[in-house]
Amino acid sequence: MSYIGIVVLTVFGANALLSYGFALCPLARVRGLVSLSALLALVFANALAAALLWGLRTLVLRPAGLESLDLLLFVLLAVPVVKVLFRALARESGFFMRLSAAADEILVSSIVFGIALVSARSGYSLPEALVASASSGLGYWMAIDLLGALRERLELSDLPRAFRGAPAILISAGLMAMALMGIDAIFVRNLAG
Amino acid sequence: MSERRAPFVPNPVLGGLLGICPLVAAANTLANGFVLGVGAALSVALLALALPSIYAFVPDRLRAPSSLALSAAFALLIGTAVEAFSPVTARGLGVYLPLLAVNCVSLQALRRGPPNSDHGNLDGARRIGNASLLVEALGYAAAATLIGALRELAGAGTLSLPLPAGQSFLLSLADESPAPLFAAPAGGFILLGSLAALYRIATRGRGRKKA
Repeated sequence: MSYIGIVVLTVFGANALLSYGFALCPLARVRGLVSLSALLALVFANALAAALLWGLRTLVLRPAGLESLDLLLFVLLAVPVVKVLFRALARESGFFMRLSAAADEILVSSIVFGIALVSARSGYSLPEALVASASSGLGYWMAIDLLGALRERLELSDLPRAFRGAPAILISAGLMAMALMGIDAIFVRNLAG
Repeated sequence: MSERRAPFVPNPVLGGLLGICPLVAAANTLANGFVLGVGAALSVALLALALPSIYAFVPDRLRAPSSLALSAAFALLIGTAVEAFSPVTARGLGVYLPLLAVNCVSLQALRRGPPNSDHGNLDGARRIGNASLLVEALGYAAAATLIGALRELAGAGTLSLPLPAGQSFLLSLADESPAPLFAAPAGGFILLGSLAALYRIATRGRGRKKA
């Protein structure tokens, strides 16, 4: 699949939040737009973690026939490496300091782990895995931003009391996921190669 | 302080929306929901047993990474057991089995760490803390099984459970799929949102009685 196809697929059809359900817990309290530094931290952390896991699986675990140990090695090696890298960058500039603070929270969540595992297990090459994981972060940001904006509007509407807040957001997420269900790999391959 | 709670109230899934990621995406059969729920409960139980040792012997700086590595090791063990018992279920759950390591219910156990007591009664505090964690984990397992069963019933019109030696239990309640949407994540979101609203209605009286 072309790089544009991978981006379209991971942002829409295989959206990290609406299709894989990664990192849904913030959904209960999300409101308004998510900051740019959180988005960039998410994209960088995802790309770095996916690249490290891809390297571990392809260069170390697959030749040894130990691919099932990927998560354990990922926790032991990749998470500390990404943390150290973010902290080193944070010393260089204030911008990266904000990213590092956001990344610390994101790093130990199902989104970074899940996207890294999905990218590494999908049979992508390294550049493809990098593009897929970075655009998955973008897709997650898009979905959580849309749902945050939707929540603000839902708070103004006259919903039954039991549905106010998280239940209404979950049902809205379901409707949004239904809208994106048609964008699958075959559709994207026909559209973008 | 003694705290009396009805079993599974507040429920971490339906009341707190904790650990709902795999339930929305992968718990689309009774077997998947059961395995995810029991796997998470088992992981929390093992963490509750192992965390005091980590906190006793591992230096402060290394506690968080070593607890996370321990959680990943438990997820790996549970994944291997599921793979051996029912490879079909393990394949159906895909990345969600290793992701038990960072399930919000397990992460909550990791963040809390072993309970401390200001009154010197460490064993008592530990027992209450572990019991409350385990009740929460059992509530998670019950909700995950319920969601898996409802999604399979609505999505495929069946209820199935893998049994040892490659056998399986299958109860067919409809000739064709009543609403295949519920097998997809979109249906998972809609069902979970509806169940969360029903749970609120069912537990509203309790809050008022307490007040």
